[in-house]
Amino acid sequence: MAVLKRIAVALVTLFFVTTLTFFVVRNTPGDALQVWALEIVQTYGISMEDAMKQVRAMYGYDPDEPVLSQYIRYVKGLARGNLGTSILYKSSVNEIVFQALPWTVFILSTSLVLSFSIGALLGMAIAWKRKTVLDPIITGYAAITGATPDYITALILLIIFAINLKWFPLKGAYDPAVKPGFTWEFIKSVLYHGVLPIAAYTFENTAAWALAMKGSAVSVLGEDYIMAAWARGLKERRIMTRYMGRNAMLPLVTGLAIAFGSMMGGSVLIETIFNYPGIGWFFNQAVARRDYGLMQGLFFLTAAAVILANLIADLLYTRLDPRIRLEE
Amino acid sequence: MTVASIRAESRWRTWYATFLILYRNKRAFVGFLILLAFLLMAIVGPYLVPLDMSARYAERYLPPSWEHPLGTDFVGRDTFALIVHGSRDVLSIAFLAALFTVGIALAVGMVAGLQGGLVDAVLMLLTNTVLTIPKFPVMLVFATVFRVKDPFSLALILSVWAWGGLARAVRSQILSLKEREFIEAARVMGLGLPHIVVRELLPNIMPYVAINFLYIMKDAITASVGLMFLGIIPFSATNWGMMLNLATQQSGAIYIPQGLYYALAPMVAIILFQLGALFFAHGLDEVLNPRLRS
Amino acid sequence: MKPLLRVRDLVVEFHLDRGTLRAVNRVSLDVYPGEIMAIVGESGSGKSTLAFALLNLVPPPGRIVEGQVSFNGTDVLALRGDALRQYRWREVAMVFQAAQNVLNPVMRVVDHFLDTARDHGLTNEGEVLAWAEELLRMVRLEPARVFSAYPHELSGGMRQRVVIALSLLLKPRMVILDEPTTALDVVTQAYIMDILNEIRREMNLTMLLLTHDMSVVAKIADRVGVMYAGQVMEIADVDSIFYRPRHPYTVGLIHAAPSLLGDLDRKQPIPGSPPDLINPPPGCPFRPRCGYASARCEEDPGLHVIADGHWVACHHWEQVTHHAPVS
Repeated sequence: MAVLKRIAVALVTLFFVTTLTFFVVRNTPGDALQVWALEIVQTYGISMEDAMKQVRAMYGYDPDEPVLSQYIRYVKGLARGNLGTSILYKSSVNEIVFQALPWTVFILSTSLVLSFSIGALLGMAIAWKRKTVLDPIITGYAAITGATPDYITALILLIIFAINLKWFPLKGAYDPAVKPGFTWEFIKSVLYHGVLPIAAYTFENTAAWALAMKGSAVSVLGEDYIMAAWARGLKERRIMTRYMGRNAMLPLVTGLAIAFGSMMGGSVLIETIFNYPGIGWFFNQAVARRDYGLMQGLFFLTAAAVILANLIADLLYTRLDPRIRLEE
Repeated sequence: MTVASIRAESRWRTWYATFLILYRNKRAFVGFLILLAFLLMAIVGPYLVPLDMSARYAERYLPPSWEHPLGTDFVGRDTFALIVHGSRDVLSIAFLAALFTVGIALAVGMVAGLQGGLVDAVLMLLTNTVLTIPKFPVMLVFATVFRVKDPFSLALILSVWAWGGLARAVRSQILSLKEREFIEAARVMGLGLPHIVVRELLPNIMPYVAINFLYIMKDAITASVGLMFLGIIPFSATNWGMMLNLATQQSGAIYIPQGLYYALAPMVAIILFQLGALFFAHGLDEVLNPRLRS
Repeated sequence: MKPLLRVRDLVVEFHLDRGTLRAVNRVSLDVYPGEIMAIVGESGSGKSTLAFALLNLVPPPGRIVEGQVSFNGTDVLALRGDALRQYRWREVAMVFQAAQNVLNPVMRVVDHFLDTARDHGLTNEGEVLAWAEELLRMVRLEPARVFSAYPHELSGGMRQRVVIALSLLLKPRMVILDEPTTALDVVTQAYIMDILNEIRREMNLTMLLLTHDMSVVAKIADRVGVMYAGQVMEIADVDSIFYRPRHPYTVGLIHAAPSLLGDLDRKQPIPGSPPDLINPPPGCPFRPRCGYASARCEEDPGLHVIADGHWVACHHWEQVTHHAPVS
């Protein structure tokens, strides 16, 4: 029941966001289409009127169609998995997503796993040892990353490691000279190109995880079952992982989805800075060239991904915490 | 104790607390000084540091000197003057955005908390949506579609998806305040809802809102500079985000060693301001939330 | 007979912002093999801290400052590392207060047994499970149902019986029971006390029972130590404590317990409240609440023998009579 309710809320949220963007964006595709039509006029020498007709047909936009029917058509399209058409690339948004999404997923998931695990370990270590030099270092590190927007971190990494030291490439997800495939060379190239974006996200987020974990772990350490575990003569390592770690981790699980959302939102800037051809990079292209179709499609995708992430985190949480499971 | 005396005491306590933080908490004091410096820079700076926007190619990318404390940009303009004049732009946008955000958050949170029932449920669903969907893409879409041309509309766009967290917090504070004696007393005395809201509830959540005002300003700067960096809202050449955009995308200053001073100046300015806001707000938090004190 | 547990002049302090709190103040006592020794005292009397100190497990900011704890000839306070780990639970196990959440909320009950066994070198899982099942049956729980349950799925009484079974897993020589029934309802309390008594007889266990409840003491204990403000006030066998108490505080405790005299109207709570344990004045800590108090009491009376196995820390023990009203 609780699961169904959560899925329903997720769907309502998605529906709400979709509707909002439809009405916000649908206001103004006119002039972008005009630019496209002009291009056709210039290339093929047909009349502007014919070009407009052609463009509208391709884009699926009829200014005389009532807004409601446009909206219903749009939602139906989405329901069938059709994300729309890109004016800029003159292709379906699905195709663009198909080639861009894997890169974004690769960067975000790697960064999330890295920053979460490093941060959680650091946080646990600080909480466990109480007074270590690590504590003020992490606090200072957290203040710095808290004050530095992720895109500035990315810019600084780019300036140092790509432009000046030339250790890492300035753009791309892999070396175009390498043929994509399941070869060691290609994987190496992908990892090499992914280092800076991953480093930017990881550097930016690790301290926050460490502080969150520290707070959670300190409160868990005050619980009776930790004292009881010591009294039972359990090994230190087991108490740290199974008793403190496992319990301290629980409240952070929902934070994972929030972090994923903000990283996904930041990808527009990060991927643009590193010229990394993921969803964010295409989003920026759509925005810069006012390609509303692409923008709408990518926004829907972003929203859907984040809502899905939240749903997964919610369900994961109920899996991990037996106390929640009972309340269902 | 009368309602009035409790109120007076809580107001007095707020001032006293603010004083205490500055006195006791070194980090908060440093934050306060940084914020004060930026505030002075934004208010009186432009009168003291003249800005000459004309291009002098012979003087491009000069290193720092007495004449140009932060060097010059890609067409020979004084970077320091750009930063000073930009600060007014950046801070006023962030201030306006925080004002709008806090306004929306207070309205939503208080209505939800006071009304309860269906209104509360709907508002909280909306709040959850705002919290779930990352705000930067939303702002990006709004900024693209509505073609922002002035600080006011930019501030609106920055606040339209930024109020979720504060609204939720205000709601829960209202819910707990509602149970407290002095609110009950005011109600028994027949004081109307406007009175209770303005004279009893607002003063009690104000310290909390003030802290969040700083956090929201900080986020608004991150977002507005980010939007400008992408080049979507090019209405001011001196805005730090615009400087970043020019340094990285347009002029290529980051690709040459001489351009580094120019490229780094807006980044350092942003980081410093954010650090000041964080330190000060965190100090306030520590004093007003006994939970955090240790 | 040689005592199994020998405590001498044990001092445990907590260093707090307000000052130093002496939770356990020069406590000396012996526990003999096979007996049930009860330590009675109000909450805050230092019983729980004493229990943790016996396991050499005082949580910071607390510290064992001085004194000796020897168990079966081993100097417990000198134990470190694995030796200390093995001493805990293998030699002395503990049943925590029923109100505490002693079991890890994200672990099934069975894993608590397995974890404990594993870290004490018992690798034969089958044997461990079989023994754990027997223990659960001994505390009248159904192993099949309880094993796979999470702690929150059990009632308070069931949880406490699980904790008792868990304490017996490594067949310790001694079990410390810290308010084992306090948070439970009266029926469950009686039930659990019966189970404990039975187990003690079957397994020939030594038990140290910490409680504030004189009726529990009367029912189950062989010998009794009375604690107040971190100090031992009186130690004697259970009959002497109830029929020939020699400390005014002991008398007060007996009169404060209703069911003992069977007459609710005669229940007399001890007036006043326990002293602040931070920087207390010298002398007898009970003095401000005591009807016998005199100028002499500003001098520490110290625990001294007044009869075979009967120790009292009072200058006026000879005047104290059973029915004397307190103050």
